[in-house]
Amino acid sequence: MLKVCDVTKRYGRFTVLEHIDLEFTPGVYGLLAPNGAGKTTLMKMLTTLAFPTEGEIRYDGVEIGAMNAAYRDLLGYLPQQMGYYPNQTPAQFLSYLAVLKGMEKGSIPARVEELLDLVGLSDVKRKRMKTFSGGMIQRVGIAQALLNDPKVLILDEPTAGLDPNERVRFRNIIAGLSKDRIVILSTHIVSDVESVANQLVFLKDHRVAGEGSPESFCRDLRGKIFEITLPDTELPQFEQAHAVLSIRQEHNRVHLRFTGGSLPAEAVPAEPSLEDVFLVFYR
Amino acid sequence: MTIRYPSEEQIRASVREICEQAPLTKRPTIRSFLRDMSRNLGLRQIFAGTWDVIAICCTLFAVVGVVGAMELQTSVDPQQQVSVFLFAFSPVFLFLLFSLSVWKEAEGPAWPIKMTCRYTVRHLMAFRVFCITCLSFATVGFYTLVLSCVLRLQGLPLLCVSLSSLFLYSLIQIQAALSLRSNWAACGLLALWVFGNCAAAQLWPRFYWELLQAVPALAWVAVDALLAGMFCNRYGIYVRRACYAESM
Amino acid sequence: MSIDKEASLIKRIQRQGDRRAAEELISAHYREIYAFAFRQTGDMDAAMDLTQEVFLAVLQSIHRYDPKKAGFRTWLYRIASHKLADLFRSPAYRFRQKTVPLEELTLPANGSPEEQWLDAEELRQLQRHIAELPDELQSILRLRFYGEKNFREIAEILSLPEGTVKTRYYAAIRTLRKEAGES
Repeated sequence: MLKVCDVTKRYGRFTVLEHIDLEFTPGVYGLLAPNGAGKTTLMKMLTTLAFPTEGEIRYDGVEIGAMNAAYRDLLGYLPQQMGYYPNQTPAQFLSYLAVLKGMEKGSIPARVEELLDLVGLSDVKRKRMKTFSGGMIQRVGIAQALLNDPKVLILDEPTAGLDPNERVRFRNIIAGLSKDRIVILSTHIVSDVESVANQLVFLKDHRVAGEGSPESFCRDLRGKIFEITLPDTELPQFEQAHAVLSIRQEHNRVHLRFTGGSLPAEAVPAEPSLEDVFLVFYR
Repeated sequence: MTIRYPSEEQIRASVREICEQAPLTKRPTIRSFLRDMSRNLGLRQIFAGTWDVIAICCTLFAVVGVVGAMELQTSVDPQQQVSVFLFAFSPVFLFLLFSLSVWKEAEGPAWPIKMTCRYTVRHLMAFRVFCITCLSFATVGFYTLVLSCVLRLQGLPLLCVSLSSLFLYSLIQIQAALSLRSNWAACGLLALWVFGNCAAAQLWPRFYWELLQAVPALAWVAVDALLAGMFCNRYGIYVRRACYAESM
Repeated sequence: MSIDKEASLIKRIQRQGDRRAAEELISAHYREIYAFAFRQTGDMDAAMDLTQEVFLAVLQSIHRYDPKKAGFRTWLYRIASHKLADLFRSPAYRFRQKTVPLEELTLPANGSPEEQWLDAEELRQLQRHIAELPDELQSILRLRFYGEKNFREIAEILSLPEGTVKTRYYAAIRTLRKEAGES
């Protein structure tokens, strides 16, 4: 179990995160927050790239800094900006990192093959990475994070730069990872985590604004989300009285999803989606 | 409440089991660190991505060394001028190697990933510092001997000067790496020392010469031994910090 | 075990990874930590497992132990209380948890009037609720009830001001009593 206990992080006078309490057990966690909410700082602390100013992060009751290499042995990390050596092939890059991860030398080639196959890069394994697209680089990144079969897998914005096909592939990879590991993925795109995460954590104003299953968040909003179609001239007035979550233009009318305010007679209740949850949180 | 304790035998067995499973490791010494790193990673992987830095430094050193030697050939008092030149110039090679490797690693694309592996950038840097220090001693020593042969000077006093200068510099370097929070600050301080020395040797060669002459040969050896001892002590701390991921 | 002896054992473990020293150090504290675990489980096997987990965690992070910052026992309890809070909440532990004979539990002799108020039934309720509390509160309550520590010792173990420990402790007791009353 990975636990963030009353963690505050400050850089000088600037507070990035305040009194964060979180608990991760095996499963897939989606960490949702708009940019600048301290998401990346939290990810950095979970990977020992930064340490809390106050509080502790513990794995199975032991502070992760004190665990030192033993914690890093359990860890797989994909940073937001996946760095690579352009002149290396993916196989060379993965082998190099496998050595740094302290993997047994004999087992490395087979593991590299296996992972390149998993992320669908087997046919380009001898090509230099400078010829790769952003999506292919990201897949190399996911493969390297899995090298040591980590118990804690931390993926910072893993779907950035992936095309729709690659996103699907990525979701399948995440869903296929066995259940006995903690997967934490941060994103500001709701659809990335909607189908794979069984727990969501929302960060807002440097704090945890909510945590729970996607269903529980949607359930909380049930009966509070409505849809309505209006002539577009009425939109400004409507926007003043209600929290509009999405707008779709249809000829000279607009189709709105909204919450709050007085309920017009034409409004019909809608099934809340995770997108609504996100918008309500960060409105 | 009454506590039912296990028997002595059970406790002993349990304690044994704990100690069998526990990762009881020796605190790394310089020797064990160097041995484990070269055995587990290998030189090729430890220096991966820095071969170009080493090549650049060697070329620079060779160019400046040859140009310097040619200049010195025409000097009036070669023994004096060569001594001053060697004192100022000896640390340049190590300085370049160190700061360029720091720069290469910090700017390297895979830094965050490498910091989350079992062997981090800190481990790699600690190992490299040892190797580049040794390499510098070998190169500078060799250069000094060649220079003294070419210019037909007394080799031993020159060797004393160049190696002592390097010992002094490497101690300052390791101390800077230990006590300054950022590697950049360390590089800045070292640049100040190295280039300050070079400039001062240009401006006041007589002062340097008198200073160097004032030290008897035996004292050089004693000072070198002391500096080497201090270097090993500091380097041991540097290694432990790298291994225990304490803040540098 | 004398303080000096303990310090030299710890040094030997830190420097040489000395197994003999580790065995001696653990043996010296085994019964105490076992008792702390037993009071919370009422079961010998479970308590031995927990004790083992605690000492494994201790050896795992012993190179970070600094005698200048805390006494070894204080540090030991800090790890034990974190570790136990984790284990009690882990799903793997829950299904094999046995009944806890809380009736037998005696509160510290210097217990406050509020503590004396709790009868056996309330304590049973309390035990159920403790596991749901935030980590720090759990640790405070566990150390007080099962570790038989006073507030000063708890404050030292958890690196909190003594006043904070007291305030949080009494606030927790009040909430728990209220919840126990409602359920």
